[in-house]
Amino acid sequence: MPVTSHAADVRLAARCRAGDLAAFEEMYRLHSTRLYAVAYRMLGRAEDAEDMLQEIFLLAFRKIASFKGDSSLGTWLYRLGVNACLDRLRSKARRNDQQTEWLDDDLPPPQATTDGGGGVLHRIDLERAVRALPSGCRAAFLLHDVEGFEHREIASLLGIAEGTSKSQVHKARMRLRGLLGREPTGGTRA
Amino acid sequence: MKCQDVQQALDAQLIGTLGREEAEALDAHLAGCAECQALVADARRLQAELRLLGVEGPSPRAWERLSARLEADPEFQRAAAEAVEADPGTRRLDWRWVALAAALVIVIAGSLMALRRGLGTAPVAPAPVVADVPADATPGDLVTSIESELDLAAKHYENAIAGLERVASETDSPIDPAVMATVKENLEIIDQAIDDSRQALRTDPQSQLAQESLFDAFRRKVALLQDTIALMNEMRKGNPSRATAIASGLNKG
Repeated sequence: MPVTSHAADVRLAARCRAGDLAAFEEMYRLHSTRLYAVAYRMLGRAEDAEDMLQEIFLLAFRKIASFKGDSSLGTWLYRLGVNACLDRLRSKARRNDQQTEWLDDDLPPPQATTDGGGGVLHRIDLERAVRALPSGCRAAFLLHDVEGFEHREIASLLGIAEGTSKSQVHKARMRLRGLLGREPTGGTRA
Repeated sequence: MKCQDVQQALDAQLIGTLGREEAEALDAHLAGCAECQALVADARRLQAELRLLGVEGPSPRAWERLSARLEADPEFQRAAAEAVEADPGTRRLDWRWVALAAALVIVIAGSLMALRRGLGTAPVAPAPVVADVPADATPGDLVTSIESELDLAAKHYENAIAGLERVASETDSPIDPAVMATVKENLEIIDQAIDDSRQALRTDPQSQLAQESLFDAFRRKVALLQDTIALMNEMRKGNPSRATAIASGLNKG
C-alpha cells in the first residue's frame, strides 16, 4: 500500500468529495493496483476484477464523506473494496444457490489438475483451483491467508461463527493442496 | 508443540501475529515432523503465490472508463458545481474558462461582424442596416470609417484576450512550457498576419484578398485560443489523453 501522510489523505479525500477529477485520478493511481489485486483474487477473473474496481471507486465517491481520517485512505478504500467483493460473491451465490455451495461442507475430495510445477501453467492451475472453492470458503481463505484478516474479523465480515472461519480456511488449504497435486487427498488432517 | 497445535500456530504465522516463543516451538516441531513440515511449507508457498495474483494491476484503459463514468455521474457533477460555487477562487476554473471562452467567441464574432460591415462585404444573415458609412462617402471617409471599425473591433478583441490572460495569471498554468511556447509562437504569427491584413486594407479597403486574409487570421486566432482553453481544461480535469490530442492539434496552428 502506498505510504501517504494523514494530512495528505484528508486533503485528497476532500478534493475527491468536491468532484475534483484530477484528485480522483490521483487516488486511483495510488490505490487501484492493490484493490484490483484483491478483486482479482476474490472474483477470479481479470474482467470481473476490472468491473469490480470501477464499482469500488464509484462507491468510494458516494461514501467518501464518511472518511474522517481515522485510518489511512488506503485502508479505508481497502475495507470498502473487500466488502464490495464480498457483496458481489454473496449476490452471485444467491443467484446460483441451487447449483453451488457457499461454504465447503465436506465436499468430495478434489482431483489434482497439475503436478505442482512452477511457471505460467502453474499460475493458471492455481487460479482455477482457487475458483473451484465454494465462494464463502474461498473468501474466508483469501481473507485470512492472503489478506491477513483475523478469524474474528472474517466471521464478522461473512456473518459466520469464528470456528466456521477457522474450519473453512483449513478446508480450503487442504483442498488446494489436493487440486494442485501437493497432497494425494483433500481430507482434513488435524 | 504437538501436531494438533500446528494449525493454530500456522494461522497466526500467516497473518503475522505469531509470537517469538510460539514461532520457536513451531520450528522445533517442524524439524521433527515431516507431515507438518509439508503442510506448513505448502501453506506458506500458497500464500506467496496467491499474493502475486493480480499485482499487474488493471488495464491502462480502466481509468479512462472510470473517469468517463464519474464525469457522467449526476452526483459527481453536482459536487463539482457546488465546490466551484462555494469557492470561486478554487484552482479548478473549468466553468470560468468555459464561460470566458464563450465570451471570447461572442466578442470576436461581434468584431468580425463589425469588420464585415465596415469593409462593405455581404453581412451574415440577418442583414443589419449599416448606417456608419454614408452612400456618398469618399474613399477617404471610407478608409477613416474602416479604421475606426477596425480599432473598435481590435479594442473588444484585446479586452477579451486581456481578460483571458488575467485569469490565466491567477493560477499556475497546467500547460507544459514547451506547448505554451508553441501556442505563443503561433499567436505571434497570427498577430503578424492580422497586422499585415490591416495594413493592406488601409491601402485598399476594397481588397477581397486582404479582407479574407484578415478574417482567416481572426478565425485562426479564435480556434487557437479555444484549443488552448480546452487544453487547460483537460489538464485541470486530469484527462491526459484528451489533452495530448488537443496539444498535438495546437502544433498545427
